Amino acid sequence: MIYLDNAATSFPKPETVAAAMIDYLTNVGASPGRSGHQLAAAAGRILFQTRKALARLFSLDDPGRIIFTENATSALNLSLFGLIRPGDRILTTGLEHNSVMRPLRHLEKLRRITIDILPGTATSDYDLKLMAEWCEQKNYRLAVINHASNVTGTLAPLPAMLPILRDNNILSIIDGAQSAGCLSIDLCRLNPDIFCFTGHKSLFGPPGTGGLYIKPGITPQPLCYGGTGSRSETEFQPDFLPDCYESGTPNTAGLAGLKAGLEFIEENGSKKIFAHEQKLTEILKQGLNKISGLTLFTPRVEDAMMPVVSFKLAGLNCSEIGHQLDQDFGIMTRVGLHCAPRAHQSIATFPEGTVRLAPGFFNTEKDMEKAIAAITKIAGRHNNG
Amino acid sequence: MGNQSGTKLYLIFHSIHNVMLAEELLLQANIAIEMVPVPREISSDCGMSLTCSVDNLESIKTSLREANFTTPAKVVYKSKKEGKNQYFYEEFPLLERT
Repeated sequence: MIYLDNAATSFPKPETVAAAMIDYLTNVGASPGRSGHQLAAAAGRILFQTRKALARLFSLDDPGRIIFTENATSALNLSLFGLIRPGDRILTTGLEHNSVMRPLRHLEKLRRITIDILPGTATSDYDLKLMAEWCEQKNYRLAVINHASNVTGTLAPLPAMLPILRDNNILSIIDGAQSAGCLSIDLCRLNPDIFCFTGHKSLFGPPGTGGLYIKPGITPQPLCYGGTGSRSETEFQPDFLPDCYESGTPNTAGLAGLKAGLEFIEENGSKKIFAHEQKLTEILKQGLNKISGLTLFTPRVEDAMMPVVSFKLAGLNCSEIGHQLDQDFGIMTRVGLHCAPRAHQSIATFPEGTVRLAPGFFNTEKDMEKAIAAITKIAGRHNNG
Repeated sequence: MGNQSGTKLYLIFHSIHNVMLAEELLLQANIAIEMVPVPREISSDCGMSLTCSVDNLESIKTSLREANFTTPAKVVYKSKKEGKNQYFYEEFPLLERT
C-alpha cells in the first residue's frame, strides 16, 4: 500500500501521536480549565504546551493568541463571519478552497458583500501589479488568501502580497491549511492579521484539530458562545483570548496528539521534513513528465514546490486512473475537484478535475518510482487499447 | 503589606492559559508558588489560581515584568480587620498595563 493522499490528511502519523492520545484518554481524561483538581490541571497543561509548541513553530511571542478550532475550515469561518460587515468589499484569489469560497458565497447573500477574485494559475505567479491596483482603487475591507494550493501546490507570495494589503489598510486572512508544518512560517515577520491552520495535515496531528493565530488589535466576533471555564459568574462571553473563542469542552485528546505531532516536527526539523517531501515531489514531476499524453499542473517556481502534484492523462478520466491506481497497484490518490472548484476553473480542469499525488514525510523514493511505473502502465494500457 | 508577612496570597488570572504561563515563568525564577483552585470566597469562577507567601509579591512582580507578562491579573490576600477573627479579600492589579 502506498498512501499518496497526504494533502487530504497525513498518514501514517508518528507513533507518538496515537500514544499521546491514548495516554490522555487512559490517564488524564479530565476537562481542562473547568475544575480545580490535578487531572483538570494536567489536561490544561496539554493545551498550554500545545499552544506553546505552535507559537515556537510559527515564531510567535504570545501563545495566548493561538485559538483552537476543529480544523482550518472552522478557523476560516470564525475569521470571515467574525470580521466581515454588511456591504464589505472582499478580495480573494482564484486558487481558493471551498473552505473560503463557501463562507464568502454565503456572506454574499447574507451580508451583501462584493467579492473580487485575483486570477490564479498553476504555472505562473499572481499578478501583483493588478493586485496593487485593485487594492488602491476598490476600497477592500479584507483579503483572504490561500497560502498553498491543495490542487496545484502553488504558493502565494505572501512577503510581497501582505505589504500591499497593509499599505491599503486591508485586513489579511491567510489559509495555511496546506502550508502549516510544511514550510517554515515566521508569522512575526509575515505579520498577517489572521493565520488559519489545520492540525491533521503537515502538523501530523489527528483530525478534529486546528486553529488560528489572531494578531493583537484584531477582534473578530466569536462564532460560538458558551462555557469557557472562566468568568463563570457572568452570562456574557469573556472578551479575552484564548477563552473568548473557545467555548465548550475542547478536543483535549486530539490536542494531545497534535502536541506529539508538533514535537515530532521539532525533533526532525521542519527543513528536513520539507526537503524530503520536495525531493519526492521532484522525482514525481520528472517521472510523470516523460509519460506521453500526461499534463502536469504544477507551479513554475521550483524552489517553492509544495508536495502536491496534479495531472491528467489525455483520453482517460481521472476517476478511472484513481480507481486503477488503488485497485491494481495499491496506490491511494485523490481525484476530482479536491473541494476547490474555483482552483480547477483557474487551471481549466473544471468540472472533471485532476489526479492528485501528495507524498508525505513517511513516503520513500521507491514509493515514487512505483507510482510513476504504475501511471506509465495505465497510460500504456490506454494507448494500446 | 509588611505586617502581613507569612500570610498567603492568590494570583488570579483571566484564563487557565495565563495561570500556566505565570506558573512557568515564576518557577523558572525559583519563586515557590503552587497551583490551586480559585478560592470560592474570591470568585465564583471554576478556574485555577497560583498561591504563595505574601513575602514573594515584589519578586513575583519583578519576574513577571521582566518576562513582559502584561496580561491583566489580580492579587488577593487574607487580612484581619478590626481585630475580628474574620478574613477579607482585598484586590489590586498585579501589573499595570504597559
